[in-house]
Amino acid sequence: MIKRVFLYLLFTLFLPTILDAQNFPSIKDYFNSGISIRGGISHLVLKDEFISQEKYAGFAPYYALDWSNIHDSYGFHFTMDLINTNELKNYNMSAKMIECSMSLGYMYDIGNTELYSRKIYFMLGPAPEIYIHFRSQNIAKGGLAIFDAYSFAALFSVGIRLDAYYPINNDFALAGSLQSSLISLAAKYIDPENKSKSLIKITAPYSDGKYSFEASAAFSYFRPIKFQAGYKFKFIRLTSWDYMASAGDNLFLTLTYML
Amino acid sequence: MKDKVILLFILFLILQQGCSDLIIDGPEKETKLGDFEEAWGIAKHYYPFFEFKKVNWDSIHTVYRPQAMKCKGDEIYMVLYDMFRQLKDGHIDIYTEGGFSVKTFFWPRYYKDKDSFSPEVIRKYFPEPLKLAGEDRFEYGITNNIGYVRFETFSDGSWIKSFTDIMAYLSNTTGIVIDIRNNSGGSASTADFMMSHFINKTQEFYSYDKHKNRYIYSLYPIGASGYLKPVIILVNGASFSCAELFPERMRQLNNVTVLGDTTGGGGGYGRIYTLTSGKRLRIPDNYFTRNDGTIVEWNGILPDILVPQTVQDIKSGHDKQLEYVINYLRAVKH
Repeated sequence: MIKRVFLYLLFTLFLPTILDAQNFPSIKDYFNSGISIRGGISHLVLKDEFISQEKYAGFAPYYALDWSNIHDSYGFHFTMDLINTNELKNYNMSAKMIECSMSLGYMYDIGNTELYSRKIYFMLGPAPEIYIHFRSQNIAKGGLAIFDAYSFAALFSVGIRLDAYYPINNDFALAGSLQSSLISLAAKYIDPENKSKSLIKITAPYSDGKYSFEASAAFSYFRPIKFQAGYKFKFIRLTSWDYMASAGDNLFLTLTYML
Repeated sequence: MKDKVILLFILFLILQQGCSDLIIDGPEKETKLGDFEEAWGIAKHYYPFFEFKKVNWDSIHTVYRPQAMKCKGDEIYMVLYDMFRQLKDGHIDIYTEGGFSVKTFFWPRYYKDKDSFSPEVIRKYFPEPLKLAGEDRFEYGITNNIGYVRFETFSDGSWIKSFTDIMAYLSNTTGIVIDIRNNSGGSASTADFMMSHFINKTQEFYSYDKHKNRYIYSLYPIGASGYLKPVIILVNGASFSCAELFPERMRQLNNVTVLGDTTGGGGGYGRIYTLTSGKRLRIPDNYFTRNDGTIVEWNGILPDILVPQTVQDIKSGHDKQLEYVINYLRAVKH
């Protein structure tokens, strides 16, 4: 129900009348410079064949902190996010999960083009990232087992990020980003009896990686405070060991203090 | 304008479903009742303790099969766990499909003694820091010319080869303490390997199997010369399985004494069985006994010298069992 309310709100935000196009100096005016606090709700789906073939799903709060700034020749984002839940469910079985990541994006202006008579600006750059995933699974009823089954994964990635900014007017803009890991140092907890597999591997994006897509609408009516509402899809996939996939649909609100 | 509306509508539809649900799917087929019947059948065929534990395994099937039939998803783990808990066996584990094992039972003496033992307190009895070896699984040293070696597992691996070097290092001591308190067991072959350092010629050891047949097996000495001076093996309620087999067999040597508290009572030899679905189950199919033929399962092994120890002893900084051993070995005439 909460998810549907957010969806309708987001849909409504896209509908306001589009004003006449104006001349905008450069992308520096629309880059999200400042310190941001983000909160929202995430619908998570997780499958880790180290634990079982079943998928677990549930809702969890989503938090993030961001510090971004733009200089003459480049911009950067430094973002930390966290999801922590005890309520991933597979029928009457539950699992706890913590996911956190820290990413750094160095963004370079690669030009702009026109879309519906307005300019859309693009930035591209490398994006190293650290991702950590921990899951705890209570296999016994009522917590009778002393130890839960657990699973752990980590990715230390060098990736790439593409940002797009679509200003509608001085105070309202749409933004989006795509991020993907390219090469990663990945680690996963494995069966200690399985001596044929290594705990740590260097992996390529077609086998193991983290991918995300984000779209948002930003309002700067009350400068220096900017308000943003958006959607982020995050997907992590590891196949070098027992298959693991974690995906999340995140709806968020962001408050930015513009620097 | 029309393009924008179509684009937003498509986005709206995707968000209604959730990309995460679209991308990740569940298993292709259901195997719950099959898992239950296979697991129950394996125990029925191989488990050696039904009569000793007075468990009617057919009645257990009648109770749990309806629950298994109603299971969805991973709920079958709960049914298997509850069913096997009835056997109160620390050697029965359920493995997740990737190999993570969950014990179905921890024996009562484990809870009594698991915190009445502390490596930090032990280190205070040694004038120099204890040395580490064998992938840091061995901790050893010398105090009052008494050798000491501690380890918490008898698992297989190349790490056990360091025991030969440790015994060479301790060869000039007047006695040795082998501390296997809080040792959860492992491989009988590791126990045999360690035992081989305490003999200087081919030695016969005996045991009993589940059919109460006595059998003899021989071990050959390892190392420059066997350690024939006094040996004390420290055990407690958290010593389990191979950490009970080892001291009980070692007691067949004249120079070995077992000291501490009654051990956990894990007398089964566990074997891993793989179900058709990929889940695994470890369950005993044989067992070992005390030297007099008494079943070790649930009973444990009794120390030659009983020295109980409590959590309060450890919290006050005293390892009474280790103090007793050091004083005992110092008093032994050489």
